[in-house]
Amino acid sequence: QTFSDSFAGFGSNNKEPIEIEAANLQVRDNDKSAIFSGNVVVIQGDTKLETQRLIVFYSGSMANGDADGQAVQQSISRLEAKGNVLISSKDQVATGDDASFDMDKQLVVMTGKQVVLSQGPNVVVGKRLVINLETGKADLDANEGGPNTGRVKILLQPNSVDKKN
Amino acid sequence: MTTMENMPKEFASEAQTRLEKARKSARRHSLLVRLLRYALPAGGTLIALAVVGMVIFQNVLSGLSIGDISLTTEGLVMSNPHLSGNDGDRSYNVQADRAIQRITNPQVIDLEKIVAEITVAPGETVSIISQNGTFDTEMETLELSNGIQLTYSKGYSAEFEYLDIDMKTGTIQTNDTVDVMSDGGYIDAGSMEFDQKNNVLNFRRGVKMKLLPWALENGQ
Repeated sequence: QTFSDSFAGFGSNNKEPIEIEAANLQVRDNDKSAIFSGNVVVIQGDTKLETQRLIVFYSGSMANGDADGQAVQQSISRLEAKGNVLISSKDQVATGDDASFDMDKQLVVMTGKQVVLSQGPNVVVGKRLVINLETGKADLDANEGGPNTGRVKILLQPNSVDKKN
Repeated sequence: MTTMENMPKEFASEAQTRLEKARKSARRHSLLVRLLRYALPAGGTLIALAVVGMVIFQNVLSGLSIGDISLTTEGLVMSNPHLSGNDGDRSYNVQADRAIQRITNPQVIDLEKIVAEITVAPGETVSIISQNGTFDTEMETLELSNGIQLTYSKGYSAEFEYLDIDMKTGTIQTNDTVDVMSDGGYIDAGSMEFDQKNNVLNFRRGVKMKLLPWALENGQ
């Protein structure tokens, strides 16, 4: 199941500014995590993430610098979104219960009772969705474990497929 | 002389009086006990307070240097005072244009145009410039108001309407809008609370954050 590279917009190598809105933010510098909670919306370029709770794990430190105060380069290593997660990018929308973004491997793994991936009229439902942010390739499995059991429900509109890549 | 048949009556009345006496002395005794139970500790705390007060005043005095002093209706007005104190590796020093020590409550000092430097950890300082502030030397709290600019040595600066700083626990908090900026982006929030002990920073009541990845990347 390959899709256009619209999802690639969300990788951390993307240079567009990231805007995050939430009700609360707690920065726990000791364990290098920042927790956004309460209707979290993250927008970068035309990619959007919505969730109830987003935990951002960073290396380096939001607040530390080397001795003479230069802020050490901080990089976001992982994001954990928990609670009705929605990721949308251009015409693709993926919804599920939880999603984790591994920025180093550029992989998004979305899980949930019902993970729904839709692109325009086409809808695919499964349990586990893995999106490769670099290639934009999305693999949907029917069960949490792996691709072997369970059934993936696919709804494809005939005329829409040939238009896409 | 008591005779047999009225023995019980006399005996009874005598017993009566003895009982009465015992009860009265018991009451007197318990009064004494109660008195001691309250008077002694009260006296003790009073002495302790005096000692503690003296020590605090003493250590406040040692860290205090003042320009000229004048007594006005507002209180004892000190011009450009400089006050410093430390506790472990945390230290603070506070300067102001004017400091007015209230006559009614000498531990509280109102300050105008304050510049405060707080070393939160070795190599980590927070500098604060504020229009007004109230410094409680005993509680070691500093309440800043009317516009504050805070710069943090790790490359962050922040603006507040007012800010309450508890220098003993190192908590800095405000229930008013917060705007924290750095070259890597900014955070706006409805309120902020920084708990220095466990290094946890809480923004509440609506948070808006903007990150500039390229700035984050090259070390901002």
